[in-house]
Parts: sequence; C-alpha cells; structure tokens
Amino acid sequence: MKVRGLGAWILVMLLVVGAATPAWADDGDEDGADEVSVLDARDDGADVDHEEDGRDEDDDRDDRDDDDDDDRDDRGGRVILVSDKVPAVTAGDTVWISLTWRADGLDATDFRVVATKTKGVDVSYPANTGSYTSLWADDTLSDGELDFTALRLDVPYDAKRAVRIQLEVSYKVNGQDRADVYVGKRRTKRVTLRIPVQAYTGADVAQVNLDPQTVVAGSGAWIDIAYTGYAPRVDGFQVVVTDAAGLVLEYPQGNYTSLVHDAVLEDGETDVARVYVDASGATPGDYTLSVEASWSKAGTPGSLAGTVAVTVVAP
Amino acid sequence: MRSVATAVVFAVVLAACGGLGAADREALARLEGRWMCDVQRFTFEDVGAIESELEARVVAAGYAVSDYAEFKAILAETPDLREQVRKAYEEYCA
Repeated sequence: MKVRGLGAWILVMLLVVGAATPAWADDGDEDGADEVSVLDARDDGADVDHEEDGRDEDDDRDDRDDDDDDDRDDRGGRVILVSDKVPAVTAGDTVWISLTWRADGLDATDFRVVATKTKGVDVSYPANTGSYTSLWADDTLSDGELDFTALRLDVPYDAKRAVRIQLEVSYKVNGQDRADVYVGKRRTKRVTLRIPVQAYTGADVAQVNLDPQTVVAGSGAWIDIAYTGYAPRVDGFQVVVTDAAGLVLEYPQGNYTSLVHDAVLEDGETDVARVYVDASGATPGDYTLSVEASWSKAGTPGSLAGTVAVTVVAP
Repeated sequence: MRSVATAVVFAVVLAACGGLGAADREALARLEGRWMCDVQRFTFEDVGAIESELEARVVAAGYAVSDYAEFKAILAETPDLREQVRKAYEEYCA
C-alpha cells in the first residue's frame, strides 16, 4: 500500500500549546471568526473563494455557536487539536487522513470523533469503531499525551478547490461527559476542517507487461493484456482488438473483453484483460495485434491504443 | 492497530521487567514525537498503510514492533516520557 506525499499542502502547522510555550502561539485568530482564514491565505498562494469551496453562512454560524474565546475557564484541563491543517487530497480519490490531539491537565477517556457535517466529500471510519473514530493507541488521551484519529475521505472527481467537514469530539473526564476542544486559543464544540483538493492531471491508465506471448500452432490459448491504473478510478473498462493481424480471436463477452477482477481500475491497481487466440489454422511466426482500451472517468470517456505481441510456435 | 494493541498487553509485563533502557525510551520518544507530526502531513491508502508506515519507522530506528508496544505501555504510565514526546513533536513540527 502506498503512502502519499504532501501534494499541494505547504501550510505552516499551527502548534497549539497552552500559556507555557508562547513561542508556539497561534495566528491570533481569537475572535471566533472564520477559523480557516489563515489557511485560505496560505493555501498554495491560490486565491480562495469561500463560495467556490462550499462554505456558506451556516458554516460561519455553526462555527461561532458554542465557541468560547475565554480560555481562562478551561474547566480543569483541555483537549487540544494540535493542528487543523490537513494534506491535500486528489479529486476522485479515497484516502485516510489523521488529526493529532493532546490532552493538557486531564485524562480524556472514551474519546470519539464524528463528522457531523460534510460538504463535497463522504466520510467514513475504521472498521473496528464503525460509526466514529477514536485514538490510534486506545480510547484514552492521558494528560500530556499525543495521539491521532484517522478518517476516510471519498472525494468525488467534481470536488471543488476544497472540501469541508465539521467534526464533533466527545470524551469523558472523571466520568463526566465533555465535548469541548481547543483549536488555537479558541474553545469550541465543533471543528471545521478545510481540506484542499487537487485535480488529477496525469495519464489515467497504462498498458504494462508487453512481453510477447506464445501460442502453439494448431491449438489455442488465452493471452493477457495488462493495464495499470494511475487515475484515482476509472470505470467501465473494456478492451477490443482493432487489428487481429490475421489471427482468429474470441472474446469472453461477445465483442469485447474486460478486466478479470471487475471493470474498474483504481490507482496503483494492475489487472488483465484476456482474449482467446485460436491458432488452429495459424502459421508459426510473430504477430502484432492492435488493441484499444476504453473507460469512463467521472463520466468522461477515455481510451488508450496499444499493441500485443503474439508468437505462434510450431507444435 | 490491533497487532500493536495486542503486543501492548504483553508489553505491560515486559515494562514491569524494564526491557527498555533510558536511551531506548528517549529514542522512541523522538520517534513518537516525529510520527505524531508526520502522520497528519500525509494521506494513506488505508488503515493498513498507516500501520505499515509506523512499523517501518520503528524498524528503521533499530527497534522491533514489540519494543514500540512496550514503549507505548510505559508511555501511558509515565508523564515525563509523554513530556519528552511532546518536546520532540514541538522541535520537529516547527
């Protein structure tokens, strides 16, 4: 399984610490207004249009609700989201992101994070927790401990420049339910994450493993046409032989063939399409078949022309 | 996550026997602090990829997964060690 790099993410991580470490003070966003304003200003240098990435007045109101800028009343400890910056995701992709938390002055048990509002993205959780996510090590964030939670994001191909999710955290302190967390100096019951989205711009698919395949004259054999996906996902994958070079061919599905596992090819996945070569009447020699693969990516058709080398050998 | 969690159960016993020395704990605290920073900077294909990345870091640092599990068990009981992790995080995530 591959690990992705930072992509377009270049933001400075806001490290939230209490008063003990003023050198790591936040950006001074203390008025409860748009908590992502710093993110926007630094996001790859690109202009950010809140309307374009789906933010509306409801988001602003929700973020201000339950916010408390008075950090003097921390009710005997804090749970802190050490940074609300997340890496960019690729449109059409499915990825896991993580958020790191710290407890100061308390032990938080039964720690849970739920996405309560999503715009432009689907959120899901680890299989062992199902309807929420919790900390990686266990469900307890001890005083001074750092740990992270992971969420799965399904980002559609038509995602705009950024997608937003709103998270709610719940935990217990000495058996008492709490839901407040600190982001910077602001105490809140809702955390809004702005997740930058980058468009996929490379090749969708490549034909791979181009070594010649052998068929014995007078008999027949299946030949493999292998493809690797590079785009996050393509659907409806089909392959046809556009020039059989004089060989007799048969498809498993009428007049085309598809991939063995399914008609979907995802990034990093290699699958094969198969065609049966009937060499019962073929003369030994080298043959080059022309093939064409076709697919759909978010409703947009794509295709790739290629060749397959077949060697018919004498029995 | 489950493999590490399982190892933690056994590591509790090992922790009582003091399997990791002070230098090991310091090294793993540095690893942990950096990991807590990096895990949020990357996307992962799936949960297994997160586990694999962590395990690769542990091995690259010269430790076994069981050592890390023991460290995590000790971490839960040792505020000073958690403070070391926090300092390592702050130094790395500047």
